[in-house]
Amino acid sequence: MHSSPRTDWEGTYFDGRVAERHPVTVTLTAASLRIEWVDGKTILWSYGEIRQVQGARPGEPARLERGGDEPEVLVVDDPGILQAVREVAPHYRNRFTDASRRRTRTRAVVAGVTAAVVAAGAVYLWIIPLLAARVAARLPVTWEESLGRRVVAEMVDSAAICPHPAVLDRLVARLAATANGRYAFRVTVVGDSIVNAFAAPGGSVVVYRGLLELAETPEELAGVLAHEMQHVVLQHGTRAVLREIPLRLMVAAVTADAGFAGHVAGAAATLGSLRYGRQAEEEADREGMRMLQRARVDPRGMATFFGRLQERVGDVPRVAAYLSTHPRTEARIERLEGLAAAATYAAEPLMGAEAWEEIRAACAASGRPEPRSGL
Amino acid sequence: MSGHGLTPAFHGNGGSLFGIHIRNLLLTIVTFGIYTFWGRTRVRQYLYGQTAFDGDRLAYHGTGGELFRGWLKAMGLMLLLVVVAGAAMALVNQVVGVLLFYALLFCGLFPLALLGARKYRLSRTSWRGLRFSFRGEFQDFLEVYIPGVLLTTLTLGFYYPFFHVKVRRFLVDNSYFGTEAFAFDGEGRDVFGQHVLAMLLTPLTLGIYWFWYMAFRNRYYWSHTALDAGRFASTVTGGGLLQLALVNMLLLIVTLGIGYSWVQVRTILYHCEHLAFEGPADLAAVRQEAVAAGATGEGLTELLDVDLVGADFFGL
Repeated sequence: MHSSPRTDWEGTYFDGRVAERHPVTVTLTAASLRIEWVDGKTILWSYGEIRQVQGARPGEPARLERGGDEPEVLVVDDPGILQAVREVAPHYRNRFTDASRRRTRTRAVVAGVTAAVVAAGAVYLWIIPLLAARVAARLPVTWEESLGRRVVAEMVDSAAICPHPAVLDRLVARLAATANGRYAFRVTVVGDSIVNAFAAPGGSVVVYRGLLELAETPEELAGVLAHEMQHVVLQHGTRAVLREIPLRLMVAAVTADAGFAGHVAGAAATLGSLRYGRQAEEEADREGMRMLQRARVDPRGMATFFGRLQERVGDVPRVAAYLSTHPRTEARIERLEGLAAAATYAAEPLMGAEAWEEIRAACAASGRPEPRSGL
Repeated sequence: MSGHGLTPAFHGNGGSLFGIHIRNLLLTIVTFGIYTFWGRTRVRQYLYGQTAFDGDRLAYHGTGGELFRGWLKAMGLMLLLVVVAGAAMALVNQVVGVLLFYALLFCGLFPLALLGARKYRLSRTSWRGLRFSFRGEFQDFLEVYIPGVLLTTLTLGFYYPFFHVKVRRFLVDNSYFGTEAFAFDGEGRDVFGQHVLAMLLTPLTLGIYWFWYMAFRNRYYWSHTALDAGRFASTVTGGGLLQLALVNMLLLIVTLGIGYSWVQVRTILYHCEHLAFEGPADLAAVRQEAVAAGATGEGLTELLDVDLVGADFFGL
């Protein structure tokens, strides 16, 4: 708050050729700064020629320069002169800044940085997953199939594969008939006593003998297969790979790492971990249940089997293999039981008892080692 | 200018400096590191611009773009070094290649970095409108530097104080304010005794004595530095430096590192308070004589992590 606007300022002038300081008085005209010596000598600096070097921060005097190689320098202790120049010569506002603008600029920087961080977070959390989903939907099936075949080749020792009875293929076909028909599901049985099953992109379903033997009814096996097949139908694996590639590229850009191919390979390697997010697991649970219902399969088997796995994880260490890749919680089992209980249709039996025993004995028939006791 | 002692005055504070550091940090992250050059320039503009001598402040005229280009050129030189050494390794033999690498690095790039950085910084600093400059030639410096390195190695370090003084003399004698040259008239033998004493006492006192040696050297160097008819004088003490270091360390620990800006300011204030310029120097008659300088030396200093020997009390 000032009563009368200030019209002149005390300053110091340096001519840029010798180190002598000259006390001067500075006044403002419409087009220039008027610099007057004690002895009356006067020079004019037109606003367009002036560079402001200091004064933009609190505690700094206003330091103005004119000229190129050996500039003249004018220092005015009171930075208020800068605001006065901005008012007198609005055409040159942008050349003169003082500390009061600084707070606005600082806020602008902070806002900008926050916006950048928020934008980066949005890209990571929403935009990339969305793009991955869209691209996955448009990928040729053959690409997913070849990706899946590579995963299976990594995970499964071809020498351990057992021939399985055709009734198992018919079970898979009954479930697959309710899906969108994009994928041709093939099932492979592996003669390993671990309890595990997974589906790779493109429709390859792998079931381990340990799981076959742990299941007590064909409906239970169907529940597991439906869950895994939904991972394929919903493209969880493919989307995960597509999400990882841009993320790894972003990291590579920041760390200036040039190994593009390595990053793509690394992203594909995540499939080997067979870990999907909690959201994907729940989605596969839900849609798997719906798949069972569309196929007229008794849905209670799914909940029962998972419940039994959860109980027996302590007794049967090999069960942990399945649970480590398909984390179950009490809540999820309860949700499955709730969905099963809500089903009102009449289930059609999957197969007869002899056919079921045939499936369970799939690997024993070809002379595979007997399961160890304690299973 | 009259004959009483003039002391530099520092008007900055830790809070403002902290604001600058934080802003630099944020912008550096967002630009994946490119901003560091502009950030460093801002810090220097602030620190130099808040330092006044006889009522008038220093000004820093460097730009982030210059530092960036200097860094690029320095990267090019490093690459060249690696290529040359690699070629030697492939064409001659491994040992020769490795020796060549270290020789070129320590006897070539290091002194180049030292000189280049000093030249750049002085050329971008002005007081009362006149620029400082550094006019030492690289070849002349090598004549001091390489024998110094060799002798120091051969005498297992005993020659080091002589080497250090010779380097200091070269750096100061070739520094100019406008047309006026600085002058250094110290001798290695004056420092040698104290240096040997420090070598003995420092391990015995678990490092404490080193502060007293550093204070002695600081006082000796400044009192043997002149500009025109005036001379500098330093009143730093071993106890003062020790206390400064201890309190700084405590501040950093207690604030988990955030207090670094305040530590920087405290250190500058201490050194400013204990420095004076005395004598009937007629600085008003000094004329402008700026010298062009690129920032490749600066870039090398960053890459090689060279501690600026003979750096003035900013140590930036």
